Amino acid sequence: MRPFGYVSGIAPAGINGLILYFSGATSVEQNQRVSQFVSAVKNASPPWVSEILPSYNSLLIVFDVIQVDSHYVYQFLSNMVVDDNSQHRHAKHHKLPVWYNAPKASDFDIISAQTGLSFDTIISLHSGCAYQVFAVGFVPGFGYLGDTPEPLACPRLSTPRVKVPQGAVAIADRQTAVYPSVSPGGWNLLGLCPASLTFADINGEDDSRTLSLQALLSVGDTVEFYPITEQEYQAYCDD
Amino acid sequence: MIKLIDSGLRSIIVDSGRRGVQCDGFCQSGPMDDEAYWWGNYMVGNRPSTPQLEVIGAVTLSIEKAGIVSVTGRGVVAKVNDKLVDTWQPIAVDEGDTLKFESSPLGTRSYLAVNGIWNVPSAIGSACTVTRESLGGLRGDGSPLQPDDRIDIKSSTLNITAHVEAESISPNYSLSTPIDVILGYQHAAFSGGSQRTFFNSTYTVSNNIDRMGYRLSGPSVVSSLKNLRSEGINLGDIQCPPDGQPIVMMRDRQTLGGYPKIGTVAAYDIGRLAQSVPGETVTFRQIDMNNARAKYLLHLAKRKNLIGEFGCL
Repeated sequence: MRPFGYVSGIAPAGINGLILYFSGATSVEQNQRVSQFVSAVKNASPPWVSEILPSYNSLLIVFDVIQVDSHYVYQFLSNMVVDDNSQHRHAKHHKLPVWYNAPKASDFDIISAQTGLSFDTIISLHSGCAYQVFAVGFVPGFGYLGDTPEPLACPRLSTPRVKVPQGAVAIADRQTAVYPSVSPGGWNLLGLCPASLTFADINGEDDSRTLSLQALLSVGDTVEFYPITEQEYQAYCDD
Repeated sequence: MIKLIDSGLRSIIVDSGRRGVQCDGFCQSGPMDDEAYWWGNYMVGNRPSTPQLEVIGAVTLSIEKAGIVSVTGRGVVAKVNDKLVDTWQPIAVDEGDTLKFESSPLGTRSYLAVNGIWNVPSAIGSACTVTRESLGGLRGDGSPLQPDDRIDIKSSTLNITAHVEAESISPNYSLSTPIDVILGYQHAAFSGGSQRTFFNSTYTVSNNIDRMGYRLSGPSVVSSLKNLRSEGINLGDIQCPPDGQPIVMMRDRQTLGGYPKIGTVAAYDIGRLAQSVPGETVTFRQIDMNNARAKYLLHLAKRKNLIGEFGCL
């Protein structure tokens, strides 16, 4: 299948999937084109789309093979009008508090050894800029944020942790993230964020209980971190 | 209403899975053996996405209200009050009956469908249990079923309406036929030699298999890619990490991953692979995306014809 527009490559992803790769001068530009394409697909909302999985520079589209085949999907996508100038229309800006160097979640010694930076510099660099959500996945609500300032770049732990605490704020390479739930993980921990990354809504009575969960972060959103004290962290958690 | 007496090695509630939420990081979930699950609901007269039990090991449960049940899966054996009953068939059960069933070899999965409306909690549009996400199941926390758990099912009929020929509907679980694979993703970064190795070698199902993925062992298959940014993963994707041992991604796979992928197992062969157990061997065969789709549609058409033969519910 031939590339078109900013789509620089297309490959099959099983009977019912196509993965599209996007060109761009920077990772931000590539990711923005992914988002613009996602918006166009969502606006068109063809009935045969079953899953849309955007990531850094790629978009996996899963479709219903009973309704369409890959050639139809290719024709549809390559003829679809994409607004190249649109910004992330529903993009939100989030300000997330972090209790840096919280004893339960601190790899400051490792990070300091890797980067040669003081604790204070690490905190001011990490909380000093806004990050873009490049992808959401791995586990529900986990947002891949980037790029962190170059001096903060830090490789993954050589042996991943079996259990990273909920709310742990972490860095790896030029990425940062908040672990929404307890999970395994190999990133370097900076502290704890008391904000919920997922919201549970329980609707209905006992005999028709339904639970829905909303993720706080969406691709295209921006995130800024700010330092809080242990007392502020506790107060936030008690709320 | 059914009550678990022995929950076997692992019993969970599954339905057809979560839809349209992979973009938020939720896994697809759903039955590992889609064919067994689909026929189970058909035979008890349920809608196609009604919950069922997915079981590893031998399960015993007590029937607290008369109804229609069906046991499907690979090598399944079922007994009501210690008397053998047909599998891949609707079975009428009475209040007070004890139902036991299991599948073989150990590690394969069996499915229990029960006629009626399952009053079980739903999370993100599905009753599927995902332990890793603390989601779904009877307690809503992703925990598997335990002895004494009761499942509230309001049966809607006591009459068997579907009569099926078990031989014509139960899938061929034999692994002697190669598993179809559609080349895709980063396949171009796998050398010709690497691709030939993959399609000409026999792979053993390792002990490292679960609802997330099946790790195989055999001749190493590696790509020339060093850095790949995490990207969407589809059901059946074959990831090849640096150690060259392929991992086939299953129902509870994470939504994004960064290992190079040579291709994807065709949807109709997922159930067969899912029902394999450690030590069994598999081979792979390349199939073009169009032919694979045609094969899948033929399979669905055959299913439709069979339903026609057996009579509508």
